[in-house]
Amino acid sequence: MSTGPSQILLDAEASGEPPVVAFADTPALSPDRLIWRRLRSDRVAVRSVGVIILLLLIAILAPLVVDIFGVTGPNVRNPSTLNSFGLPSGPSFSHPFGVDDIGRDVLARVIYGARIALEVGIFGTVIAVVVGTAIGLLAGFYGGWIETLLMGAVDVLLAFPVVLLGLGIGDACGGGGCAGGAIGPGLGTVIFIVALTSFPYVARIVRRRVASLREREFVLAARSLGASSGRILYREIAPNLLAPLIVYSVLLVPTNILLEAALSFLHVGILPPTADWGQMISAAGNDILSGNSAWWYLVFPGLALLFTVLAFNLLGDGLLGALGRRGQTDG
Amino acid sequence: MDRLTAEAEDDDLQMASYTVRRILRAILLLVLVSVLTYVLFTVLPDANPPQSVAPGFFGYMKDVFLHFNFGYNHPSHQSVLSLVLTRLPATLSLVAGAGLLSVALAIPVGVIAATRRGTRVDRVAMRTALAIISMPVFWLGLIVLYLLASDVGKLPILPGANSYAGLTADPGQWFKSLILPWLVLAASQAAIYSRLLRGQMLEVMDQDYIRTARAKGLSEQSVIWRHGAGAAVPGVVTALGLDIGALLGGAVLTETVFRIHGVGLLAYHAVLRSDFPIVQGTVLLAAMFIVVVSLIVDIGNAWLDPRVRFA
Repeated sequence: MSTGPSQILLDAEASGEPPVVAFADTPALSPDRLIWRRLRSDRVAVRSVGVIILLLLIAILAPLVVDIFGVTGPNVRNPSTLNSFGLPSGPSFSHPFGVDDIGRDVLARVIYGARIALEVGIFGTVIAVVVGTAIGLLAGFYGGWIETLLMGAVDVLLAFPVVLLGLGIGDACGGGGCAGGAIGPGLGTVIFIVALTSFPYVARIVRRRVASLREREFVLAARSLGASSGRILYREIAPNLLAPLIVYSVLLVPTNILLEAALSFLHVGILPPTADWGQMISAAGNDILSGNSAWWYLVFPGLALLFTVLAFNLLGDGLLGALGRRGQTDG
Repeated sequence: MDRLTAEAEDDDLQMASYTVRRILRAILLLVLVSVLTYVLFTVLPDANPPQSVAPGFFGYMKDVFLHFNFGYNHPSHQSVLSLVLTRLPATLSLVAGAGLLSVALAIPVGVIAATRRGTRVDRVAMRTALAIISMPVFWLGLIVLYLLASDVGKLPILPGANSYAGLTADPGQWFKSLILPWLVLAASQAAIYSRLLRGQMLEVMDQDYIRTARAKGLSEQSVIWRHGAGAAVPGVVTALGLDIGALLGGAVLTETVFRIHGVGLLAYHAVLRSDFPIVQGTVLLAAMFIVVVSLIVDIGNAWLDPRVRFA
């Protein structure tokens, strides 16, 4: 698990200059359409899009999906599923993934857990990308003291180990919320942590790119024609940021999902009894460490987490490949 | 001779100037990291968590920088700094071992994937790496314990949770108890570095000097390992130095799973006990630690590679 915001993303960043979308085989298409065509021919990427759509549907339609499987709701306790020692029972016909330590259906909780994972992953990433892009644009375009100030702030944030910072903020805001009620305990705090720890990476990437675009001929041409700064940012620079921002967003989602799960695992994330994968793994872990063989409620939420994160990573990897940034464009 | 001496002096001067600039920057970062900690943990929360440093911003900064007071734990009558220092050897053992292991695992995988670019071997290796990166470290740790731990495992072969012993107290037990945590913490980092190394190898192998090495008749093995990997691996080692934060974060989770009494478990237990000063002090100390480590990495890099000094 990458515990600092997306290392793959940094690999992508490390591989340098703006992508040269050079495709010797297909000469007559615009770069956008070439990237699109590449992506569509990447079977793994297409399948991961399918998985992501399926996951989103499961999350949105969770109550319906739970009904289809005919299991009890995520917070319904089934006392009859615990044996006389109070130990949970494993997979069975009525509870395909077994039940947890207090008799709740694991399948239902895994299904509902997708809601939290995707909510935090997607909303946290959107906030991070908006904030990071704004900061990176200002810093890269204006340079000077604005850049020093903004990028200095970004450097300070990057000095903190993400998981520990999240642990601290989760603890500080978990009790009564933060920022005058703007950040509520639980979900609000988790989204805040995720956005706070991932926007610096977006800001860095955008700043670097804007700083290099600023010197390119087409920007100089616009400037010499008398275009205002706002127009140059909006019409000349922003369109060139779109493709990388989409790739980085897709790669940030899985990192943020993992961070959410880690925070909930450490008891500073989503508040019980809301179904959450990290929390389920934490409860299962305590059970396993005390010698119980209740593997099912350790294994299933973990697999859900793994597949979700992997789907986004594979899509992001495919996008990198389509942009010619993976080093195996014709592999 | 004179010119050479002058150039050497010039070099020393540049190195000295770079070092001074970098140290000043690190000091500024230390101050700003403390300011941010104050804002996040004292100003931002609505329900004020208990503090154990002097009240007010300046009291806090004075405590941190003049008295090295990062908070105080009343029940145990210990300062947060001394608590963290007691726990540091365990965390450093875990992080250093996992860091080295991740690079050691990444080198063969990255190099072989790069030399077999586009083949099935390459694809399988890179997709496996992606799957490992996608795995939550705490889940991997628990699965490994469930399968292999000597107390609760199905195939009890290695010491599991709560078996850590200090290096000086019992070196054998120290090593054995860390095998699983090292592997678990190293896994995702190793996967990341093998992808990184593969990319860098591909770039390096396109260079002219590789063609020269081949042209002068060196064996392909020698070209790949000595000239190719030799040039690509230092980049990965630098990445490791800069990823110390990710490793520390992973260590919090690994220590929690394996019940290793390091700094991470200290912070986690403090959260469970609502002992906020310890949480806050640990976060600040960890950030300061990272600032210092990246200072050392940067200066080391500049010392090895003169080009860095002009950055």
